[in-house]
Amino acid sequence: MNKIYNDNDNKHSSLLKDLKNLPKINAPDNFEFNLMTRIENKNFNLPEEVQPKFNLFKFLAPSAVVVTAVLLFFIFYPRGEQLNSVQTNKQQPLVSQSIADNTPTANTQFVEKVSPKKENPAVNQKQITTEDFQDQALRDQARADNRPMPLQRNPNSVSVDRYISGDNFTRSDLTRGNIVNSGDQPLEGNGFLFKQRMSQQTLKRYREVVDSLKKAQLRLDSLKKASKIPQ
Amino acid sequence: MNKPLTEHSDEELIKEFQDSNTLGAYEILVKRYKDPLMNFVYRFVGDRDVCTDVVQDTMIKFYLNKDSYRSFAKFSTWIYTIAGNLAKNELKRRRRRSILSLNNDDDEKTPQIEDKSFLAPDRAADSEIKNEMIQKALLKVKPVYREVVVLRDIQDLSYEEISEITGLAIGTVKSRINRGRAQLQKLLKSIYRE
Repeated sequence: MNKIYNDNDNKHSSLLKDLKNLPKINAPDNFEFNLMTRIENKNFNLPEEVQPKFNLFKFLAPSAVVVTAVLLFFIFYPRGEQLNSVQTNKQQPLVSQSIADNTPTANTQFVEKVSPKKENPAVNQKQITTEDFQDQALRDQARADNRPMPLQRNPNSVSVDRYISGDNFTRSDLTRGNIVNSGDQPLEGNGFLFKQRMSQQTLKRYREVVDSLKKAQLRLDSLKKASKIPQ
Repeated sequence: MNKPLTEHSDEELIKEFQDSNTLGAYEILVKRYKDPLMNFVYRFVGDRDVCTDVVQDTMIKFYLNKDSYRSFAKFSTWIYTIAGNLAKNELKRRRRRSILSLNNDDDEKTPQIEDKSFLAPDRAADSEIKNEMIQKALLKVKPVYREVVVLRDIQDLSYEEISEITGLAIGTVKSRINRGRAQLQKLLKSIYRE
């Protein structure tokens, strides 16, 4: 390698000789005087550093990255949201059907949920907590009787896994809704079922059915008592 | 026995200046380096007045930033680095000024090399004209090559010193020197016939 550079030195020998013999440029006579005067007067106005040239591409590159990221977010994020809602809708009938089939208390709770009462938030909050306790009592009873878990009253509760494992009573209503909804808005769905306003007629019919069932139950009880009376 | 400041090495003088703020040590260093730096900057920039200003600024910078010098480096390479950076800044500023200037004067442009065909052979051989032609050709070489050629072939610094001054690897320094020389030879082919 050094040989190459030495060859190069030989190749340009006359040029190098002339470069070495170039006349030496000396500083002017007053150089030191001017310098010391500047230092004594503290006249240090040094030239500013030259800023690099403005480059349009370099200037636009970060903003282009940000714009691309935002576009990608808007292209892909809503698709995921839609997919989630579609999946929720698909699961709903099956889940609600299975609960309706297995839970004897589900029907009565469903009737209760049909006509929600509008109350002030403080009272509502209090009621929700008492409802939670009632739910818990029902669930404890169901667990003791080895029956399927009853449907919870809270309309925002949609965490299926927690229903199965039975440890969702500590969560607040809003967070329960947000587990699946993954947003700030409370879920419109009524747990596994979507809210539906029931007509007065249907409600009346349901009440009649329930009353007739109660009457039948009473009759059955009286018959049992009668049969138990020794003759 | 204390020897006089004039007999101290560069590194001892800068140490003295750093520790005791001895202005005498600073003045001796200025005396030692003003001419080599003038020569280097003149060959690099090509304007005597600008060159004087650049060397003055170098010395002011050295005065103000004396504590940024570290003893493991040679003082000469440190001061050459400052001068080189200021000279490069000056070149950039001039280039920008010439680009922005609407009334672009031909005098402000880098000087053109005279065509040899217009010179009589005896004149071309004249050393003064030859030196002038070499200087003009030097200013036409790319600044990255020009700097290393000046440092090596005019200031007679070693490759290691040039590497320290420019912050380049020794191999890069050598290749740049070769390219610079080749460009220079090409520009001066009327004088140096192979």
